Amino acid sequence: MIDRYLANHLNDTERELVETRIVGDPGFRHEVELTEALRDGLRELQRQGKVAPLLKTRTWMWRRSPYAIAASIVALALGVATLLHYQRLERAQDNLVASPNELVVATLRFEQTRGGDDGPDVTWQRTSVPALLDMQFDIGLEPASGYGILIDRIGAEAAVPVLQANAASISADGLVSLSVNSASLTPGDYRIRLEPQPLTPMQPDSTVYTLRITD
Amino acid sequence: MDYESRPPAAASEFGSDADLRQLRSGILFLLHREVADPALADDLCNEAFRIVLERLRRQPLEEPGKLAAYLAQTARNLALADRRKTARRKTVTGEQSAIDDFVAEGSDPSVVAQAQVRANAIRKVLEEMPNIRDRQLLVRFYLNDEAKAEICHDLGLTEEHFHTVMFRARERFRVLLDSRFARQDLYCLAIA
Repeated sequence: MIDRYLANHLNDTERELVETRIVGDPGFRHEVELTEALRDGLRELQRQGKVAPLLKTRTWMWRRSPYAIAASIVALALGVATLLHYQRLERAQDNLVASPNELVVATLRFEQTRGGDDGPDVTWQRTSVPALLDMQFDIGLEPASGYGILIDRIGAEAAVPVLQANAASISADGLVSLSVNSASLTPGDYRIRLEPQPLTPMQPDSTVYTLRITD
Repeated sequence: MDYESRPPAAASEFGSDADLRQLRSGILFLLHREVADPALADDLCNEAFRIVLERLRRQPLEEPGKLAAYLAQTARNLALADRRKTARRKTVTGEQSAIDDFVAEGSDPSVVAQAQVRANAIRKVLEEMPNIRDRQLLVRFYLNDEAKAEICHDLGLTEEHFHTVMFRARERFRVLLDSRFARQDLYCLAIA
């Protein structure tokens, strides 16, 4: 949306929505400013013929001082030594501790919902032991500052709330994460709704994902 | 505009002084996109706040949450009115094209200087980014406006991971930019 706004590709209604959010939501405005600075700066660099050199592999290493290179080599050697040391420690620890009840972690990655009759976004088959479901939601390039998450069980009857989580934050990868014990989700279909927080008229609408759990 | 002398009714609508500054920065951002002259944008911003303050004195908004939308619409109307006024006052002579030629694009030294500062900052930050793929992503997406599918194909990415990879590249860019340059040096038009 920001890119289309800066390129003047939005219709009047969309443009008014974006501009209202720019005025009322400082975080969103900073995103727009950053994108505009990046676009304008790159255009100016292209005009000056300075973009192509940026896309070539760097050779700067050899222009650094010998001290910096020596320090880098020492740091690398220390890192390798530390890694080898910890690997030996871990092997020794593995020999001492052999737990039969290892924790099973399943990562479920949700992309933007497809909607329609395409079936659930993610299907997960239950394991014989309870698992920790590490759910990761891709909410696009313009996330809100936080999200509330609502999980409802859906089916022929009315939706039944199963879980509610407040203020899920955005990870360094730009994903919203939520960990759920699989024991709390019986086989069936679930609707997962991500509500942008704080909830203001300027925030984008909530995003809905679907999950099917099978036996 | 004298924020200290604002009436109580308006003060309750605008919130704190920090809120007021944020609203003003947002309105300035919009107006700088509407009018080329920074001084004119500043004048129109002040005028928009004056109009809204007078309106609030007469009658508070029924939905205070729509203040930002009301301010933005007022600013857009002022910018439109100014464009019409300028068009009406335009002197038409038989030598119009010759007159137009005298106005060089980017002739405002402050705007040119700011564009140069911004470009240098972007170049330095991109040069510092160790991952060449990050630079390629940002240039291809934000400068060349290339399609997502094409970028994914060339860089060996799946479309599912495009958002993640782009988000990371953008965050690394942002962190470097913020650590090397003051915001007002890069976004001074909007923050003025």
